[in-house]
Amino acid sequence: MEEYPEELRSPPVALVALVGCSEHHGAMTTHLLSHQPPINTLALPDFSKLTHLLQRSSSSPGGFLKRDWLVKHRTKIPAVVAALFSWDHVSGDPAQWVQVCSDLDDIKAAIRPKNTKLLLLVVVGKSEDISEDRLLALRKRAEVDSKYLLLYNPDPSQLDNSLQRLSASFAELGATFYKEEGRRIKARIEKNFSTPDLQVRYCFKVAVYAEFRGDWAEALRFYEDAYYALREMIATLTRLSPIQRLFEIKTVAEHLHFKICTLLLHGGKLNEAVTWFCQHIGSYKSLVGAPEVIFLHWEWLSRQFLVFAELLDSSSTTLPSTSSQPLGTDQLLSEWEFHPAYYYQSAAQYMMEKRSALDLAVSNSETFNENDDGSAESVIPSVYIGQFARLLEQGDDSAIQSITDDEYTRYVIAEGKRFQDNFEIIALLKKCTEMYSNHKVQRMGSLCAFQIAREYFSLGDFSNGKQFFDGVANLYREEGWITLLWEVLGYLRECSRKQGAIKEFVEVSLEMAALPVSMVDGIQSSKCGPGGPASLEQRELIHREIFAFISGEARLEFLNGLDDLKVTGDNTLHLEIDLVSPLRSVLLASVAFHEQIIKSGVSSLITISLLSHLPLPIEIDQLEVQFNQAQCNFIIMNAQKSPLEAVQSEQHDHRMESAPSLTLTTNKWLRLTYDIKSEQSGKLECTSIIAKIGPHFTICCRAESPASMDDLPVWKFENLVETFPTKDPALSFSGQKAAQVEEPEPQVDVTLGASGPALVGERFLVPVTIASRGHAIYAGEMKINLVDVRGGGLFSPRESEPLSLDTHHVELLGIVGAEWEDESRKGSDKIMKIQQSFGLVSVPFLKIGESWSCKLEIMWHRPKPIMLFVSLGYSPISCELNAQKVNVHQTLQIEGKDAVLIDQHFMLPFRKDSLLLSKVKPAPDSSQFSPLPLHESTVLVVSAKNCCEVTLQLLSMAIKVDDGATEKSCSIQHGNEDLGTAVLVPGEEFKKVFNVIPNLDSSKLRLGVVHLKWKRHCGIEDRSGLTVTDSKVVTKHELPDVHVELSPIIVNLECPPYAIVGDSFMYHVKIRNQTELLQEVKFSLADSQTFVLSGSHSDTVFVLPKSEHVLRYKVVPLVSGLQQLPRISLTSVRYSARFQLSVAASNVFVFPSKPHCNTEKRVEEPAAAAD
Amino acid sequence: MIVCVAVVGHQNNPLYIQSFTDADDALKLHHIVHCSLDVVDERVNNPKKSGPTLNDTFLGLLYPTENYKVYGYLTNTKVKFILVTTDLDVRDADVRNEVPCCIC
Repeated sequence: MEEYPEELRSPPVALVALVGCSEHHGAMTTHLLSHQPPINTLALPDFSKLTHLLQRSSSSPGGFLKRDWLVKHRTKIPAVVAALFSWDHVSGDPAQWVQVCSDLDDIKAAIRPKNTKLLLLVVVGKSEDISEDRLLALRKRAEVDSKYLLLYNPDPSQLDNSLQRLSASFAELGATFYKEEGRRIKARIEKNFSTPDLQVRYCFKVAVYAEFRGDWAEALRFYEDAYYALREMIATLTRLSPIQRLFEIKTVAEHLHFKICTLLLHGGKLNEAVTWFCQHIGSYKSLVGAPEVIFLHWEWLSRQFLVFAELLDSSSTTLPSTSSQPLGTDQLLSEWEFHPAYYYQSAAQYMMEKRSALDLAVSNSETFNENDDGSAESVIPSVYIGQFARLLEQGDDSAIQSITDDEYTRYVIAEGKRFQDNFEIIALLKKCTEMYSNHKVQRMGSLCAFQIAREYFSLGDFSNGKQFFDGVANLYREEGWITLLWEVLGYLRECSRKQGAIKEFVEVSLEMAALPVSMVDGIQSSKCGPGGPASLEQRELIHREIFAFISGEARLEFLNGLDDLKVTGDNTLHLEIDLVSPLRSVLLASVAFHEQIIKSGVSSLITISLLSHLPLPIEIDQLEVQFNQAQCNFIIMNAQKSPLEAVQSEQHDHRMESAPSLTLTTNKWLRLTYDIKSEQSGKLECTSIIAKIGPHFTICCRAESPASMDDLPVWKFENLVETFPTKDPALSFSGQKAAQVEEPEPQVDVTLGASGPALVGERFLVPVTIASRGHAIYAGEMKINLVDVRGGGLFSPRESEPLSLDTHHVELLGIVGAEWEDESRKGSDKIMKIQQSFGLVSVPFLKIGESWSCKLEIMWHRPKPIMLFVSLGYSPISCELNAQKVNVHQTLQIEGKDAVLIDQHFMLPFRKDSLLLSKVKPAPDSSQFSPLPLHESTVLVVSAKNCCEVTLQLLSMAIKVDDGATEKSCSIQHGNEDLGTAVLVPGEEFKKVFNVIPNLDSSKLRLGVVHLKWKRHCGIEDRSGLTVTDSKVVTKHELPDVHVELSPIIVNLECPPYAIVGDSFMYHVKIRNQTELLQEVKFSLADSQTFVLSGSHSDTVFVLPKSEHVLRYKVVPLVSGLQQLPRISLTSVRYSARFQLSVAASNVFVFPSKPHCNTEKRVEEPAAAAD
Repeated sequence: MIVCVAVVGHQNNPLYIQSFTDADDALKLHHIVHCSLDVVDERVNNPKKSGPTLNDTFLGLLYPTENYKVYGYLTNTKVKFILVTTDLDVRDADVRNEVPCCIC
């Protein structure tokens, strides 16, 4: 589209001229350009210039359209001339008026032949009196209508108005001018005596004038008329030079077509535009013209497609998307015809046609016109569109002379030779590829890429070509389009051949040879690519050629000048075929272990199957089977070929096998079964098979499992007899290329000898014994793991513990008793890593039959069961690091339990009670601690209960404080700390009494920690000594804090330790006031049927400060036995607190008669009393 | 005249392709059939675009070239029948009747 002149590509803009008063032209020009529609301006400083501009040139028509006609009307011939006069001149002296009239006459004379419209502009000042008479005179002189005489006031306040009026008048007069011009030309058409040439010209002009005034419908109609008139002329080519005439017609038709399509697309008529284009191409496609210049036709067609593609492309943003185009049922347009890429592609296609036609024309012209007389020179485009002429220059004069068809032909061929079309074709196709890829249209994009690649190939740019060919080949491979793939590979093969890339050449050749093309669907065509026709013969030819080359039997004659790239000793060729390689059809290796689990050191069978789709059998010299365990690799030699000495010397450490034949026949599995034995446990996997063919060529093929082997994509749909890679069909479906090698059976016993539960706090020993039965132990390592049975870790950071040891509930402390026989080895090989729940210890070398033992020292901080895992890894053969290891595992669950449960409670002394206010009326903020009376003795009983299944021996119990503060605030008295031989059987409870006297009034008093030292009780038969290392264990129990307060009133009961029926005794109730205040105490005594008493039953007494009041009763018991004395209850009026002594405090035993205190009878007396 | 018929599998792999012209055009026809699969994909993936042929196995005119027109037929198993003809002014309805005959 860029090659069209600007005046054709853009819609015409009306042109006006300004004459005189040039200082105002700038403002007017700017305003008119911004007007809608815009108006171009010719600014002429004086009136004489206009006369030159409007000179008329006439010549007899020699063609359809003049090349400069459009430019002339857009830039030279104004529709309106505006004559600007200053008011000073108009209203000045007579001389000035005469000058004005003279200028006006000149203008009128100049514009009359062209029928140009006149507009008068009088430039006035700020405050000038306008004389209507002079204006009328001016208007009459100019013969213009009153509305076309305007006053122009350049004053900023009036300027806008003036300019608005000016532009409106220009637009009106311009439209009138173009309308009249159009009508004038139309009249000529209607007279109908014009020649067809003129008919075309007139229609074109009318259309252009319609465009000038924005009448798009009329413009379109007349462009179409011109187009049809031109089309009719083709049948009557009467001129002497038909080649040039046809070219001229096509060029004019191209211009008209461009205008029509632009207008249609501008009007949003996409369907019509595409239909019009189809008709246009349909009309002219067959007009190929003379055979010697047929390339002009192809070039013309290509340009039509290109221009339309660009038009569609540029208008696609403004038009609705093509997908929404309504397609009628009888509509023959498909959605692809709305796609610019389709037209770009066709343009490229015709450009290719043009190139080949031009090549032919050039070769013909060189043959027939060897002595070129240079007549093609000095040919230039003529004044008419589509015509060429010779420019004759003689001195300063020049003349145009028409040329003959022969001269024209030579000229266009010479011109055609100047351009290289390949690059234009590539650019067009690249644009298509880009558009197709944007729309994810993969296959059409590939076709374009293929054509680009072919262009590069023909240019000799093989690296670029190869890049595109590779991409295309991938798609064809993926979808299995064999014939198309064959063609692309043919080009690729040729590219690598030209580039001297031996490896790629061999790869592509092998792939081609292994493609499933046969005679049936083979394409025998003269147009096939450099790969030759896709046929079985061609495959065989390629096969023979390539194998002769790689075996060194033949050299590639076609590697002209590239002999140094032949495959020689220093230049071996190695191909890799992986799981996605297209060369899988050349060589496919399937490997199946007959057993999935192999015992270490025991031989098993492995089947190696090879398949090739090459058209001819191939002979393999040797096969190397590689495993992940390199020591298992082995080599299969072809018995028919003498083994190569070099190979033997290189690979003497591998196992060598021999096969009677290693010939691969087309589509037939070659099955080879051999023994395989591995000494190393773990996975044994066959990784690759390397086939050696000839002295310098190897193919490394990745091994595949028959069970998970993918089909060959290109052979998948072929009619072939399917065979199995192994003889056993089941193995073909389930066989794997990897097998698991088991460890050898361990012949070492690991014994964990712990018995019974572990107790919290003790260092528990677990004896481990390693005894060798049949294996010597080299480089033995024992791993110890402690795992919580209930899940979760043994580590519990959330629980805040005062002791850091307690952060691990169960802890591996160490290993004791591990003795290494050879002390010299101890330093170098001994490993002992102990962490809280993990340990690693090395085991010394043990001969067969020897044993070694150690003890694991484990401590429980919390009662919980754990699982102890012990793994022994050793090598039965040698100490080497990579030696085969054997593992033995042993587990043991051990219960961890608390040994003793310690508890405590407080008691008051016998028959004594204190009024503790916090007990009677607990304050809302008071703590829940037990209250103790200040300075009063309280009994603390600490009990320790054996809650495990083991008999314990208690050694000592004491209350210890961590600082001296408690000693000052409280005194604790107890008997001997050492408990002697207190044995506590399971379930039994031990109690010890402490006397606590608080000395400090405190709301929270720490009493200390009970330290109970104990050990397992060692009976004669008890072997627990084996399981614990230190028998003494201290269990700690923190006593709860207490609340100490002064008791205001203390009550003591005093009575004899026992009574005798009928014998009176004194019963005293002592009420002691410990305060500085007078205490009023009410008391009441409940009657009892078992006693007769004398004394006050109820009363109120006043107890003086720091003094004691005694209530005295004389009591006579009536009934024997354990009896309750009459209970007294007290009420402190001051504290409104009532309290009563406990039932136990008021019990007394009543004997029926006075007891005899003989030591012999002491035991019997209570029994008698009970009676 | 029908110049080529092709049966293409559901993975867009050619199952059968037969041209009825001289061998020079055979490769070109292969390309045309292959490219027409793009249009089939487009029609299948965007059924709205196919307008009146919605839910119809006959896909109509797939794509025009300069000398050929390509028609398509899609079976329920996504096997495609592609027909290339040189009759540039053939009507859709005629081809619609023709394609099942070709299949049979």
